Amino acid sequence: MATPKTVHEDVWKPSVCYMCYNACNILAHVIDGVVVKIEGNPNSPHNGSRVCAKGNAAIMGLYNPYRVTKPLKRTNPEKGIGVDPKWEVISWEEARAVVASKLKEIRDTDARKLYVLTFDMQGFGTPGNVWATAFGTPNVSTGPSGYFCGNALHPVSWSVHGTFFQEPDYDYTKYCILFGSQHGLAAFTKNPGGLAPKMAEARVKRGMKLVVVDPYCNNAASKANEWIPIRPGTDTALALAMVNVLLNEEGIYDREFLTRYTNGPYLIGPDGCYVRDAEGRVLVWDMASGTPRPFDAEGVQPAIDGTFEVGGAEVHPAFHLVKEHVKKYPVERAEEITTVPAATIRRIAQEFGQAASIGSTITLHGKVLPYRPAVVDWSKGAIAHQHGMHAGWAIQLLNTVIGAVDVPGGHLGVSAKGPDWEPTEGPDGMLVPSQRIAFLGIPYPPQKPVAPNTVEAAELFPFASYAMPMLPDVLMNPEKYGLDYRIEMMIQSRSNYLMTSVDPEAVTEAFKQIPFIVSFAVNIDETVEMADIVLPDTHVLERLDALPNRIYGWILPGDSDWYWTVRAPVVDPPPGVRPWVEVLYDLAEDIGMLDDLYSTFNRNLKIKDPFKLDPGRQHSYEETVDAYFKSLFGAEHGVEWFKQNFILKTPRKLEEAYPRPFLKPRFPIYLEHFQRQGPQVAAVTAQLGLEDWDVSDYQALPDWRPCSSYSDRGEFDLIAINCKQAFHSFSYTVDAVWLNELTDNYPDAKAVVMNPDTAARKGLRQGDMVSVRTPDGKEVRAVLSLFEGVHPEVLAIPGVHGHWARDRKKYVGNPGPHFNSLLAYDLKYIDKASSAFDACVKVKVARIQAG
Amino acid sequence: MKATVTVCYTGAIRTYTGKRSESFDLQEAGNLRALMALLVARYGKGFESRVFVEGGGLNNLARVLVGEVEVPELPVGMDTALEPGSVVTIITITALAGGENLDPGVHEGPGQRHGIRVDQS
Repeated sequence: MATPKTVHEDVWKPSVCYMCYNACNILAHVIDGVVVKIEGNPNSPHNGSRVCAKGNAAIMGLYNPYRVTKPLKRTNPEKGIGVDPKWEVISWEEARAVVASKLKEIRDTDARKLYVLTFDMQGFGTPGNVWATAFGTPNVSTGPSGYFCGNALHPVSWSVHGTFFQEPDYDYTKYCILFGSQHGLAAFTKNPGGLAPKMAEARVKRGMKLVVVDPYCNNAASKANEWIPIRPGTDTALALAMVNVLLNEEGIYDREFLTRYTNGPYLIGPDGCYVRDAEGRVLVWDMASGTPRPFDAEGVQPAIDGTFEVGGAEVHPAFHLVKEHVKKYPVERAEEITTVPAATIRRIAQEFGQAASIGSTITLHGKVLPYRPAVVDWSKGAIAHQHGMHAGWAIQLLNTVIGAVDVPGGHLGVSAKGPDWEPTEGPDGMLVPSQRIAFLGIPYPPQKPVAPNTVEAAELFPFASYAMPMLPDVLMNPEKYGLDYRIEMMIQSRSNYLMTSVDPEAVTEAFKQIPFIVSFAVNIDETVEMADIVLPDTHVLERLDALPNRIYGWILPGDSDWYWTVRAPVVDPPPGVRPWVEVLYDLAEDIGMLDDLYSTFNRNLKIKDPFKLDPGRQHSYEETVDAYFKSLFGAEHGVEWFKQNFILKTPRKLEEAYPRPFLKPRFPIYLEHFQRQGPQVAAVTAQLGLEDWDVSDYQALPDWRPCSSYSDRGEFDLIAINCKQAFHSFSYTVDAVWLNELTDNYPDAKAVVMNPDTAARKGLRQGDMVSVRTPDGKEVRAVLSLFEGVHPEVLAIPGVHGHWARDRKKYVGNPGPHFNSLLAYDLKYIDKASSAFDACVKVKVARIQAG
Repeated sequence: MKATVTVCYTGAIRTYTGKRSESFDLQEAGNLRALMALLVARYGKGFESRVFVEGGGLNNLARVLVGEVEVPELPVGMDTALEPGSVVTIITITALAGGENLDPGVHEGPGQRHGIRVDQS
């Protein structure tokens, strides 16, 4: 009889998951230093006791036998897809000396030549921001998903709510429409652990109706009351047709809201600009006096529709122009564009408008607030298109016209107003996000387009938050954008750009332009295979990350607490493996940057005395986090406190949860400033010789414009789209083999998915091996799966599969198709307003082998 | 000996100025607004766009300090007079989704603005 093993340690340790971006709060069951189980943290206000398959499977990434545990040096100078780097193990000392030498050389000459590429915003974000600022490079990209991310979401959210993120209010809404989004029901930022139960409760208690607009009957659609299949890239037309039904057929709109909180009353002249008085003040038409008066004049009673005369010119309130504009989108025209039946469009718009209950109020915590229990939300499916910015604005108009913005039941900015921050009133009375949360470029007050200084050429996208899709072209042709330097070094971590951006071949050629690439890696993925030096990084269960539930995004909105957590290590990393941010902070000493680092740390993070870092001595990374915590939360709430107690909560006041009735600044329904930026961008691009740079999307009101896949399809008769899988996030979850087993047992997970009627017309059958080709000469091959839940014109390709990295091929199994390999890198597919890359492409499908 | 003010540059703004710090004759620099106008004239539109937005407000990714006090906290903001020996620091923050988190006001001890609840995990 075997002797039972003595157990020395058996504990549940709190931390924060990082298998996607939701930052779910978890408990890790650790026995003798080994994680054996992960569960949700029942004390969490974020996700409670719930954690998804990805979170459970994190253990398998932690104990993946192919983890990088020693520094590696490339010995094969040739780089490319499938090329063996011929790694050689080197010492930490050698690796650190090589990296520090290159960093110092760059910093001493031109700091711009360093490029940092990472999607590790929760770990790198705060300390990395400090590090990059101290180093002096403007070239940091926070994500490969900058192609298909919030490109046309964040500018709208900043403008309307004053926040980076926005969410439906599932606590009080009764009618929710999701456009190209699996909000609450899938991975990434949509927090299913926290939101799915709220959605379920909304349906049980209030009979909430959920409508999902998507070409593919995804996880969210499968849970919805109604799935509306739509032709890809046409959501703008659907939204504008619905607005037209509300405004011009049903007369449903919130006049008081539009008058008081938007620029709807602002008079617009024949030139499309605001009408101003001699002092430059924007005018409205005062119904009381029958004269034009400044928008903020005492006692003014603005009109929001009608035609007036000012200075001999015919002028209109902005809302009047919106109302007229959407007449271009009768439901019959929208049906032709979207394939959604006209009757369905009209019905959904009517249901939405009626559910809004305009004029109703709700009493919460003793205060009476407007109640608008109808909401639309959207995500990548609707906006990752050639004219994505217009899609974002068109969809948001639905919330705006019914007054469902930052009020109970409506669409909420996650953190517009807090205990000591709120949006301010900028030029012309318009909303400016609080400086405290505006960590990226914000659209208002307008940025001035100038010749690029950055490798994203973000200066040519003054309305957008980032411009990552420009990276390959700028790396290849910096002089084209007026850059007088080339990137000489890239530091890369937790960002598999080769798989999660488009066109791996084009990206590979672009990365070949960078002479020295350092990757911090847990596993050798496809991008890490391009590195010259690989440094072993910690798994997320081994890291200390400050405040991963970042208050501007990864917390619950609405009637809930504010909360802060820490991603604390639950186990020690393997010997010699260190968190990459710690290594960067160590390198600061090697290159003589500590003084700058600490002074930037103190100033950027507004560290209070006595917690400021002393430039006179080196601080450990944990000490820097401790100083940050104590400065924010007080001396008693340092790192140790967080490790012991984990969650810090404070109540969110009603006016913080639902701030709109308490705010003075207005937000735009007519993008006067956006329109004015178009010619400014054109002037800069003309000066650079970028004659084909199209600025026609810089217009004050949204319009539907076709993607390249929309017309002239000919033999390329289907539109390929990508669809998200709830059990994978980007490409890194494949390092947890349980998820691969799950994927292999899910019929459509590594297939291309077609409607059975479409397949029948083509003589194709379930299980056929097919070739999928594009007009640009791109091809993927995969097994065909048939599913009624696909729009008949669409070929759906799930997830990010098709891994070719040498290590991954050993444990991923069937690689499956890589959707992004179908997307040719070409500037014509980039939205010049939002920088979104068009993620729908016309394809032809042919059988290679019968199934 | 001339009375001077020192301007220090942190972040990518250095790529426009080509230096980490420089001194200005106080008469030339005047107040903060005049100093900034002088810098814009010297370093051009790229510099201007990193520090200012349309209408003349500060870019949300720029910080300007006199001593250790930021412009929004200066009583007269950009009209602050510069003294002999004043140090003006211009920081352009690298844009990425990090930056400071938000002060919840939980560390004010008794009478704090918000009652704090601490959950033991």
